[in-house]
Amino acid sequence: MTPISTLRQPGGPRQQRRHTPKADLSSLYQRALKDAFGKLKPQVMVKNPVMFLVWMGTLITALLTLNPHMFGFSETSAMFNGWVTVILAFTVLFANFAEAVAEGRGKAQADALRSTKGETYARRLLADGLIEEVPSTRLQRGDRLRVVAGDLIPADGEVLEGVASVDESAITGESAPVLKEPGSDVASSVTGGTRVVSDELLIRVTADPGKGFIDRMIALVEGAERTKTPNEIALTVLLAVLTLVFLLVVSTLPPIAHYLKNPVGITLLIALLVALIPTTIGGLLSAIGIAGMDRVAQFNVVATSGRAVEACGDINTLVLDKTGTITLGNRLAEEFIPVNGHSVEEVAVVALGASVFDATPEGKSIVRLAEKFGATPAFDPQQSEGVEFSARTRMSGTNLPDGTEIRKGAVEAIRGFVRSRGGQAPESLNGAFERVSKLGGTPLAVCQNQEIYGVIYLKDMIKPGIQERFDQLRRMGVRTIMLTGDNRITASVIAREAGVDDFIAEATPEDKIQVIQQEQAAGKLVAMTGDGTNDAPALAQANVGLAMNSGTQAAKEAANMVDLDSDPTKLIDLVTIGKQLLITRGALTTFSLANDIAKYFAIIPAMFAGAGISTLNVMGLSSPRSAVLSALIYNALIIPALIPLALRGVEFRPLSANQLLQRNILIYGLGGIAAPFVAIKVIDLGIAVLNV
Amino acid sequence: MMAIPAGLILTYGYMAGNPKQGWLVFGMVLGFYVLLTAIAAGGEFQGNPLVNQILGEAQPNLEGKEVRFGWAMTALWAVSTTGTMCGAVNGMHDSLMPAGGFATLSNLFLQVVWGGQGTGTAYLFVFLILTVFLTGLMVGRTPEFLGRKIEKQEIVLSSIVLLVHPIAILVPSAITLAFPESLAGISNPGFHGLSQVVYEYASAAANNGSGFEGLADNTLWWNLSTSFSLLLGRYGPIIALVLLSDGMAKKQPVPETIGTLRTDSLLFTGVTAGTIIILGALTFLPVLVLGPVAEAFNLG
Repeated sequence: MTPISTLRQPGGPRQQRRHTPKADLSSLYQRALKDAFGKLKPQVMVKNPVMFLVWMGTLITALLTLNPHMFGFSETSAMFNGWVTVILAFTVLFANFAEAVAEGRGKAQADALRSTKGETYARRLLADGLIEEVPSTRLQRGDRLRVVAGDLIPADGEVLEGVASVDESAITGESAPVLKEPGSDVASSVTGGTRVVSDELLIRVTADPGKGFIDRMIALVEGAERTKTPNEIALTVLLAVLTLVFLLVVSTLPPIAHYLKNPVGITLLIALLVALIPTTIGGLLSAIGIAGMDRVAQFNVVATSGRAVEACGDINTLVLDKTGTITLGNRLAEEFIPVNGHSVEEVAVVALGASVFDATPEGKSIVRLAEKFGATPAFDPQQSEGVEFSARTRMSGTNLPDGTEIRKGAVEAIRGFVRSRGGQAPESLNGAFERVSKLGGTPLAVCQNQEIYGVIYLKDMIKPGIQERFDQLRRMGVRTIMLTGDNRITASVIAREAGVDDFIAEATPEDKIQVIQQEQAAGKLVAMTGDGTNDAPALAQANVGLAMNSGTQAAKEAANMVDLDSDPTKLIDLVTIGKQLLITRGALTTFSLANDIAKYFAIIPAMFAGAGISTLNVMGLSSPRSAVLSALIYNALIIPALIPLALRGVEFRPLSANQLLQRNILIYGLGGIAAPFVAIKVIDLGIAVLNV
Repeated sequence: MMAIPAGLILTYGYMAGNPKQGWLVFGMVLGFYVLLTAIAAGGEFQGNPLVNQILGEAQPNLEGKEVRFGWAMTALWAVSTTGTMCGAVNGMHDSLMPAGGFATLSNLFLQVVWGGQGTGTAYLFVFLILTVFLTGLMVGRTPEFLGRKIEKQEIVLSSIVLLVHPIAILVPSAITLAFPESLAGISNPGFHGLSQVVYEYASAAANNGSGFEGLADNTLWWNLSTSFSLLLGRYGPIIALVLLSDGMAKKQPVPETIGTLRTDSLLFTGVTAGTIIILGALTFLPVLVLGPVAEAFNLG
């Protein structure tokens, strides 16, 4: 068995994060190719109005290939109609392929997740104390289960009894097992699909079948539960209206052309329509959305909806806990500062006495420091009683059998404690308090009954690189607020060093909600992280609530995202992913619409070759037939050419809005106008050489 | 006629607390106005090549013009009257050179080159909203206009405005041209005849009232069909815009940060101009090409 002491503390720093489970992408493209054909079913196609119209056009040109005069006048040959049909069919297939690849990646990831889950049997505890074996799929919320070393935990649950180490690498990729025990905020929840390594646990199931954590993640990355996000809906509406506008433009052309004695056949009309409607973005839109969700999943974050991912890009304010997010999780005791004429050794003895029952890393570091001074507990720990830390009292300690009370805690709390026992806080306490605070450390006062002995200096380590990240956020217009239980002086020192915009010292859980509500009242979108049960209301209140997987079930249910690695800094990455998703959508839409100019210049002169407007053939395309085919081939090929960009997302840089616009307009706006002119000309030259 | 729509753009700037944006949009519209006037005036100045060939000298086009105004003043007035909702003419638009037909038709299609008293500014809002929506995404945020998020409802209502014009102009034009003998009453068959028909419906839909003329248009068909264009072109956008502003007024404002796209930059104004050209004008490119543009190429 792994000794408990070397187990990783949940939420601690991760040294060896690897993104698991690794998805098997080997047959991705074959599968996507097959799916691309499967999606040709009209009931699937109709969900995408732009591509549905192209598909209808393909069917009509296919009929015209069989008989060019089926719908009356035609100036195009069966051969030409055949080429158009093939190109249009490929346009539709490319769009379907883009979506299938994006889905395939999600499915591969889901398969990998599912393999970790498998079909397991659970030992369910019946009311009379007997145990029955049931398949994990039949477990209900509230069932009590016994899991022993070697078992896969069959469902998400909460630990009722027992202490055990659990290997969570299946979902977090962290190989070191995690300690699970009841009653604690961070260590009492277990996830289905993880494996018990040692000992045994009694757990209560907290999720209904199919609603567990991994199930949710699978459903999400598979796209099964994908609903369009508000922004995606708005964009789809715009694309549909534009398609309708161009449909009107093209369908009113025949009488006009006929009047001008330059009649136009159905094939050319369909060609013009397909070239004008926004097929590029229409074909890639859903792939962009799926890929965005997939990127979140690759970051090992479970989002409950695409809406939440999109909201990340809009966040104005990040509310961050100091501990674990801005500073490394564990503060370590650095120094004992005696007050009131006591010696350092005396402080060490009292500090040790107050910390024997304190299993937190901080408590342990106090014990280690005290032992360096040769201190030993002056009492029998077996006979004594530990006093747990609580957010209310803000202190912890030990009650000895003879009635002696040893406490350590926030200086104000200890001062109050001493006063309530009839003691007096010494003058020198303020000096020690200020000294530690100004160093950015946390001062903990220690006392025995009514006598204050000194101050423990707990040193806070700011996470390396966090300053640059806050700087990036500021450039994106995101404000950061740090919440900490520390006193004002300490908080201001850390806030300045880390570079946050604002901080709230001596914060209580209620403060969190209050800060969020205040910001929201000003119309801002707020994101926060949390893990404790008392974070749950704030997580629910925030627009984006990211719960730590190591946190309590209540926190996870209140949040709209859960980080399987329990790394609160990921909130910053999520902001980037959300923005990237929107930028990719906008950039490809702009590109798609800007393309229309070149396509008009290719097709209109070709269509009305008899109207004496050959001057408009600015690209100097070799023949009307080749001009139409070149524009359509470009239109089809641009979709697969942009698939990698749609899946990867447009590169995001932490720039201000105007700088970003400048950059993206240059690339996707002006690029979108220029690129097709060049590409269509090149394709036309190719067609002329091949002489098809 | 121009002072009110032009002034309203600046009024918007002051009311939105952003006079700079008002001036930038004003500048953009002025740019369109100058460009279209230059196109129309250029065409008139060069004159009719066929006439000049007969005369043996280069004269500006003076057909259908009041000689006191001459080619320049007529072109300026033609562009001004079609851009705003004026409709009065000081020369026959039917007699303008194809370039003039192109400029006047473009004005009627766009309706923002100053535009009507109030409706011009309203149409500008629609284009600003659509530009914000398209480009706003590119800065990685849900697009915002005047501190309000642009979501489905805003897009539905503003893109309806894009639909109204093709319905009110292209559909009746196509029907009319399908029966050129019985319905159209065109006096100059060919490319110019197409311009005559399209101009009539565009003028009705844009609530302009000017006529290209040369059409035998006091018939039951013309009177009824242009009434349809007139009503749809006037009330369709107004209803959509009132609903749009009502919805936006009810939304909670979003505070502005450095991450918010600023709409008062030269870049954004340039992009708006691009959007107006692509969304507003490309719709009518085929009829413009087959009407005035083809006519111009076939003259020379």
